[in-house]
Parts: sequence; C-alpha cells; structure tokens
Amino acid sequence: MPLSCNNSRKVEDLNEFNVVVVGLGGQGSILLSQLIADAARIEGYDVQTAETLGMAQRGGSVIGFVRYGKEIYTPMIPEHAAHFMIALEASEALRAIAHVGQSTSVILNTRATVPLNVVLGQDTYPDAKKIEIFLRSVGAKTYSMDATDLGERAGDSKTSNVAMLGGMAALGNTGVLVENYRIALKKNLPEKLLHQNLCAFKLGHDAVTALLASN
Amino acid sequence: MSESSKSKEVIHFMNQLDLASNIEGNRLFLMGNQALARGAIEADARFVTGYPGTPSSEVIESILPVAKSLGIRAEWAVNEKVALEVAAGVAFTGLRSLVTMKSAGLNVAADSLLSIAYSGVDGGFVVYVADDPSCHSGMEEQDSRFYANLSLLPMLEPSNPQEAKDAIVEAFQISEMLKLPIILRLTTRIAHSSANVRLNQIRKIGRKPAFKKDVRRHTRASPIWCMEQHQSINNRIHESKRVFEQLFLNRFISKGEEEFGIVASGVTWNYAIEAVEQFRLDNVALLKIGVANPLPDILIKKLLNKRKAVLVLEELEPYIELNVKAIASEQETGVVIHGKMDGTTPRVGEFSHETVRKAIGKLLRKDFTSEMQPRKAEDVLSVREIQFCPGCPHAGTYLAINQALNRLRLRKEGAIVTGDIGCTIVGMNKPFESCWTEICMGASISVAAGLRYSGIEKPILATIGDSTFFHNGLQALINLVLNNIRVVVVVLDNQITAMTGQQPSPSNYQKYTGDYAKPIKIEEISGSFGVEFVRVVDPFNLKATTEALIEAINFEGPSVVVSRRSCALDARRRKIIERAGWIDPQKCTGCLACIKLSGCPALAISSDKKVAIDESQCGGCTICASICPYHAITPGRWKI
Repeated sequence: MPLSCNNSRKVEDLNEFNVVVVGLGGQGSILLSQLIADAARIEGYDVQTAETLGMAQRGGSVIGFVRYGKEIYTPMIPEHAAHFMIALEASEALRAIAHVGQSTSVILNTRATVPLNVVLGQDTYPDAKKIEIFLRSVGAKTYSMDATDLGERAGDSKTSNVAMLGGMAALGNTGVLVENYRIALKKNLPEKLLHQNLCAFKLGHDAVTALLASN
Repeated sequence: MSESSKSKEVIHFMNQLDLASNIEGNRLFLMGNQALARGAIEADARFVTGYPGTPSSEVIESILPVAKSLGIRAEWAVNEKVALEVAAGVAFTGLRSLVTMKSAGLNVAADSLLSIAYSGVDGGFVVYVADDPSCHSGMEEQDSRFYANLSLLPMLEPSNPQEAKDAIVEAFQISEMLKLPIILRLTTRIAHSSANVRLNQIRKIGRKPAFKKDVRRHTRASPIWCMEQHQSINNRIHESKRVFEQLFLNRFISKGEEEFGIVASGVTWNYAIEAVEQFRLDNVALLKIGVANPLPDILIKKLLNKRKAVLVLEELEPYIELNVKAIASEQETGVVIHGKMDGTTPRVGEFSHETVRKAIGKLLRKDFTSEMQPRKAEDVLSVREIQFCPGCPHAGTYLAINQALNRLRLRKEGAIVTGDIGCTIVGMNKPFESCWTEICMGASISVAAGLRYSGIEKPILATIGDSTFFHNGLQALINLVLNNIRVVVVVLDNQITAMTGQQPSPSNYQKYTGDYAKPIKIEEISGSFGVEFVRVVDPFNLKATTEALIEAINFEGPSVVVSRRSCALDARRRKIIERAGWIDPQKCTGCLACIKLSGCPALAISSDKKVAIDESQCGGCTICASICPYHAITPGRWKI
C-alpha cells in the first residue's frame, strides 16, 4: 500500500485522461467539453463530464471537467491532476489553478475579457505573460495562442473554442486520434457551421504544431 | 490502451428525441437530470411538472420536446407548491406523476408534502429535489434529507446517472406498493454530470384514472383520522424496511475481517471507491447508502461489526453519521466513528477527492494527500462578478432607478432597494449596486413592507422579476394594498424565467405552450388588487422610466411600475435584434460614462482610449446611447 500519493504520474501510465475546460459563459465551453467527450467516446473510452451551469449565462466563470479512460467513477478531477486544460479566457486558467500540476499542458487563449471592476480602474488584471509565468511556476507546460483571432480568421470569433480543441489535438498525447476530433465535430455541429469550425480546428492545430516545432 | 477495454456497444450522444427511443440496451450519454427524465419515461409517468430551479430544471426540459409523442403532459407550474399539489392530484387517480424542484422549492412545497404524505397516493408519485452543496447556483446549502424525516417519506439517493435512471423507475414501483410519495434527491455534481446510461424498455401501463371518495384518508379535520393516517405511514415504512434495505442503491462490500469501514452516500461514494482502488485499500469494508430513509440498519450493523474504526462520508449535515452513532452505541462495540462531529470532514461546501482522501488518511493513519500544496491565485486575479447580458432590459431599469434617486437628490443610501431571486438580483453588482437584500421568492415586497412599518422614512423600492412575482410576490402585493403600505414595487417583466434557462413565465405563457393560456398582465392584476398608482414603462426608454419611478416614489401609497422588455437572450434567439449600436470615434471623448453607468460587456476600451462596441456581443439596446453625453453613439435597434 503506498504511503503517499503522487498525482504527477506520466500520461502514458494512466488509466484515465483528465481535461479541465475554463472560460466565461457564452464562450462555448459546454460545446467544447461535449466535443472532447464525444471524440473520446468515438475512440472507445468510458467518459464522464461535469459542468457548473449555475451562472453560465451571465458572463460568469464556467468550469467543465471531462474524464475518459477504462472505467471512470466520477468526472471530478483531483488537485494537480489535469493532463490538459483549455482556457478560453486567459485569466480563467488561474481560477482553476488547483487542478494544474506538473503533468498539465495548458492551451491558453491570450485574448482577455477584462472584468468590469478592472475597466472601472478598481482592480488590476494579469496580462498573458504573467499568467503563463504563474502556470509554469506550478510545473505546467503552456501553449499560448490568440484563439479569438484564429476564430475570426476561420469566419467567426465564436469558433475560437474549436481552434483551441485543434491545439489540444496537436499535442498528440490525448489518447484520441486527430481524425476522431473531426468526426466529433461533424456529429455535433450543424452542416452550415461545420466548414468554419473545421477551418478553426486546423488553424489551432497548426498553431500548436508550430509551437511544438519551435521548442 | 488495450483493444479489449474499448466498448463495442453502440453509444449515442444525446439528441433531444433519443430520449424517447425504445431500443433496449442502447446507451445514451446522459446528464443526471436527463437520466431521471428517461427513467420517468420508461416508468410511464403520465404527468410531469415543476418550477425551474438550478440544478433541477433539465428533467422537465428534456421531457418537453418528446412529451406529445409519448402522450405525457409536461409543464411548468407557477411555483413548487402548486406543482406538487397538481402532481399529487394526478397520482391520487392511480396514474404515475413526477414533480421536480430545487432545494429551496421543497421549502415552498413542504406544507403540501407533509399533508399529501398523510393521504398517500394510488399512482406512483416521485418528488425530485436537487440540493446544491457549495451553492453553485446561489441559495442556501440546504440538506433536504431532513425532509424525509419530517414528512416520514422514503428518500432515494443515487450516486450517478445510471443509478438515477434506475432509481426513479424503482421509486414509481415502490410508491405504488406503499401508496406513498417517494422523494428522490440528487446534488449538483450528479444532476449536472454526464455518463453513459444503459436504457431499458419504455413500459406502457395503460391505467384508467379513478378517484374514490374517501374522506377518512383525504381530509385532516378529524384528529382521530389524522393520527390514524400518521400511524399508517409509520406502519408501512416499518413493514417495508427489508425492501429498502435490499434495494440496489445500498451496497455492502466486505470480505469479512477488515479492521476499518467506510460509509458513503451520493457523490462521496464515487470519490471513496476511486481512492480505494487507487491506493489499493484492502483493509476497509465499504457500505454505500443509497436510501436516505429508511436507513439500512442491518447493513450498518454489519459494517460496524468487529471494525476498529468507521468513517462516514456525506456532504452537508451529519445525517447518516448520527444514525450510525446511535446504532454503534446500541451495539456497545467501542468502534470509533469519524465524520463531521469529530471534525474529520467539513459541514460546509461540497466534497472533493481531497476531502475524501484526507478523511480516509485519518481513518487509516496514513497520508493520501498530494505532495504538492495547492497554489492560490487570488492575489493576481480580479473578481469577476456576474453581470447583465448585453442588451438586458434590467440594466435599463436599474440605471433608471439610480437616475431617479439622483434626481430626487437622494444620496447612495438615501433610499432602500430590496432585491429578489433571479436575474434581477444582478442589480446588486457594479455598476448599479442598487439592491440591498435577497431572501427568497417574493420576499422583496414583504420585507420592504416590514422596513416601512419600522418607521424608516426613506423611499423603499422592491425590485422583482415577473416569474418571481407570480411565484410568490402576488400575496405580498395584496398585503401591501390591504395595509396601504408605501412601497414602490418595480416588476422587471422580461416575460420569461430567465436565469434558470428561459422557461415560460405566466406573463407570456401562451407563446411557449401554444394553447393553454392568455398572458396575465401584471398591471391589470395590480389594478384589480386596488393599487392606485400603476405604470407600464419600456426600460430602453430611460427618460420615461426614470420619470415614472420618480412619480411612483412620490406617490403616498403602494405603487407598481412594470418595466417591460423581452429578455435579451430570448430576443437574440428570436432574431428580433435588428442591428448593433455604433460609436463614432470622432465624437467619443473617452469619458467612459457609458461603461461606468451601464457596465455593458459589449463596450470595450480600444487602443486609442476611446470606447468601441463589440458588434458580435452587442444586444442592440439603446441604453449606452441614452447615457452618452456627447451623442457619439448610434443606438442599436430591435424589430419590436
């Protein structure tokens, strides 16, 4: 019986994959969780998801969990145990910092949605650089992209969530084939939105592939 | 990952209509609430009602699209008490019936629940209540398990979506067997978690309704009959204890000689088995309790027997723990019980893997917690308060309230604004900071009356949404009129139950249901109650709204201002937003008055320190344009 637990096991040794999706209400985090879950299901894993939906419509913080593997008991993810985090808004990554650890890869949208009290000059807001440094200080790897811009290039800034999914898929260690993410997109999106979403997926995929090549 | 672990079965992602599919053995990926909906369909529930409340609303929302094809009557009621009574009426006739609500809703319905328990039912009757540890959707951290004790009714508590679906089917059957309503409780983490659920066939019971006159059973006026009814419930529960004890929701896992024991229920069971598996804990016997009332005494005794120490894992109050302690003290085995009462687990907030690992560590005198200390990021993070959506009419109403108070030369705390449940409470946040209180449905009006009675002379305004007003504000308004209390009731009528996900409201019910009812006009009923000052305003017209509010504040007696505009999310969905606003960069001076006063998320400061409107977010309202002192903003427009 192990006397203490080490949550920072390597992804390859794992029975499960833990994904945290953070963002703001209206940024498409629920669809993103659904796409990650469906791709994992197509791959053949047992999957569970959990969402905090309470205030999602009011621009509040939203956090979603997706877990997949051989057998999943709960979608809730232990502290430091996320393997992947997608932050649709940069600073929201810090709100879920407890789940980030040495085996976490964070896909970060550098585009900020500044809270009102910051606009009113009553508080300060960390820039993307500061957020990256913070994430690295707990041992995470970060992959930053202006996903909102990628979404706009694909035809609609609302596809930024799918651009970030492309980024995660490009890491190559999610246990899910890139093709299965595309199948999940085709299954879950209406015909008329599919093209721009596939385009966003590719832009995000290319962005992270370029980051991996430059490292 | 090995090939063998891959599931070969056909699994479908939920599509609205799949919920009615009748292919046994198929798996659907369902949220806990959707699983309950499917279970109710499989059990042939004929009637489903409730009042929206996070995290319970998806049960009815999932049934509504398929209700007609299955011949189910599904609807939203005006409040939980009415919902429970209507559903009970159906169950009195032998048909199966389901009512759903959040924890606070059960308080509203409690009066009916306790009485209906005495009558009992003939058709299966399930009362679904969703509790919310950690207050993800606001409101108290209520532990509704105590309602099982209070009402004497059985309560089931599944741990995952599959169990939820199977449990509700079982609940309908047991309810008919005992002729008693059954309460089914989930918490947010199960209600809003999704997993694969294996479907069973949809049964068709095909019963004809019949209601037999039996005053000895269905009335309470005679004390003797009442006590008979009370005794009868106790007898039925007592006689069926074995049925509950052996229900699949309870599980005892032991090889016999373990030194330690863990009792877990609801979501804590999932954390417990994950820890047992991950840390290969073989010296621990496990008891899962999925029936909160009546508790499985025999299994609890088995678990306690010969153990050195036992840990009870449950969120919120020490409900199971108290009973485990009582049984342990009868047995006099000297077993140590860890739980809330010795501080092993917290009474506040939901559990996590860490809560459970720490507690198991204490039980086994080992350390299962992570080596890493969790980092806190609060010092670099700024608070993100919930805000009104772009285009929200409530922003206009609160802005008008603030301007009215300004024009009356009242300082920030020179008038009291009591708030209420729902989106309207966002008026307590920046930049409005209007609301002082939020208590429960309708209380804005009655608490305002009390403040007035105390002798406070400031203007007192009560702000309340339309759905909340119909839910429980009506009676408070009648009370204002009866006692001629000078309070301004501002009804923010966005014609929808917005915060819980856009369910219909009585002020615009027929739009959604097509045929049931005409809209009920708040100004008309207020007038017929005897309110002498009633105005209807458009919150996009800031000037007129402000003036109506000033008049209302000056009126000596109860007054009602109905501020009416569709919810912005509903307007977006119905595509009635015609165009976004536009700011002329030549005219914008960067004074930021628009942002400071409206707080609209679609307004952003551009690189040249001026304000620009994000067209993709803009809700097309006119509020920022009416604020701008330099007339730099061309307002957005709605078709109606």
